[in-house]
Amino acid sequence: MRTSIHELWGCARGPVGRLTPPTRLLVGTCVFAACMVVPATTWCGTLLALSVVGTWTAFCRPPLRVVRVTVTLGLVLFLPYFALVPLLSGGTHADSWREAVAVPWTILVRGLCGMLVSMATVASLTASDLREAMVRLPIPRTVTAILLQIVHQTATLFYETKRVAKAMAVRGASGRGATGLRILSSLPQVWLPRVVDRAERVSTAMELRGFCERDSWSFQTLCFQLADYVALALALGVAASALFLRLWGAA
Amino acid sequence: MKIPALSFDQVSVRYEPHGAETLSGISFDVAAGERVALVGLNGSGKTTLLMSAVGLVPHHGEIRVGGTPVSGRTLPQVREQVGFLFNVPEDQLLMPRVIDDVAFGCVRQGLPPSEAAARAMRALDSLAVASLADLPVHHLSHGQKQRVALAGALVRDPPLLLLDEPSAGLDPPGKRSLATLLTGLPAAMLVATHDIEFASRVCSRFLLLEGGRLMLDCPHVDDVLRRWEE
Repeated sequence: MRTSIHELWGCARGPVGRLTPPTRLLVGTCVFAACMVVPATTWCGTLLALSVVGTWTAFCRPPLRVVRVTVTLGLVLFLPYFALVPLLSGGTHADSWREAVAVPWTILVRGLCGMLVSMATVASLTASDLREAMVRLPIPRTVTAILLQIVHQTATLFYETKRVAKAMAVRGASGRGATGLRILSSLPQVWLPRVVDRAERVSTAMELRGFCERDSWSFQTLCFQLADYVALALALGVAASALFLRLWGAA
Repeated sequence: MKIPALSFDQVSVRYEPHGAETLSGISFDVAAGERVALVGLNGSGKTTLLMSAVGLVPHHGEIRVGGTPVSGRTLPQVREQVGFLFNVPEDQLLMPRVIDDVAFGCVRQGLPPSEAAARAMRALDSLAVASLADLPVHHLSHGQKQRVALAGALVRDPPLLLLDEPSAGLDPPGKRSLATLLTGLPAAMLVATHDIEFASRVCSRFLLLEGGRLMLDCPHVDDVLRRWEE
């Protein structure tokens, strides 16, 4: 079965499900931060990033197809930067080539690791889990409300877009080449006003239902277990190691 | 004298400063526990009237909900007394899971999560959609969304219900059971609808809007039908 982008939420089936939602979100954030901080130009740094990302992904266990698509997308996005190496090298010395390769290599490692960590973290949280996690973390309530609505409304808009596409197809607006281009260019005229109109109606409903009034509202009673503390300690350890490698490399 | 659940006194609404009035000189009362249908053709101002009652559109004249005048300062007080159903139900479903969305009103009032969930389940059960409790809201059909949104409006037992096309998208048995449910509630309600059969099952009084004006206020649906036939 195909997994569309919004169905990624909560599709993981790994032991990560035993952790509370705030722990999952925090561990994912720490691992992501570690990947962004780690010096990708050293063997230690690259090894740390790849091993941590591999462990987190295995722990979350998202569907293999999703992992494959994420890796492919990452490679498609970041590998073309290597085409710039001859321009960046500016000479024929080995050092100059090594320095030129380091730039796209860092982009590749950080980009790919960041995408995998984000995907695994998203897969480990359902939309309800995300809300439970965010209301328990010290995040401003407006930011929380807006982020949660973005996630929630994306799914609704996705279905609405599918309905628009089906209606267009049924009414004969389908085809390749020039017809396809014309349809594509007219899509914003059909789609954007609906999105704006919908955003206005949703904000009215949010106002009426008092969506932003209270500091936090939760539907679950969460209890932190030993596993949560261990996972958090490990994640902080990873982030600290990445920072240490970065500072040590700089020194 | 008993305070009306809702009262409009010479209320007018104009969306643009120099544009035409969407509602013009509307006056009526809805007594506590009274069920009133608001009928009219498309664009007659039914939705605008409901929205003005909870301060969602600016108005001239006086609107009172349970004796409280609707103004910027009193909006939280007013809205606490009202259960509102929008005419596009998915607009008001703000939570990813059905049970969470229905329970939201109770949790916001400060009820513990377990009690809020129990009340939400009772509301869902009364609308025969308890089996949907754990589903994501975007997986529901239009009729199911309508019932879930209605459950969210009913869950707090508000003294006034403002329902915009509550029977839209429901199948005939669904309409019948909704009518039975609404007639059993103690709350006052103003039901904007095109569905005359549904309105006549639920309501004991009919307000007819035409071009933003209140043309008829009568106890029999036949008067409305006669007016439409003229």
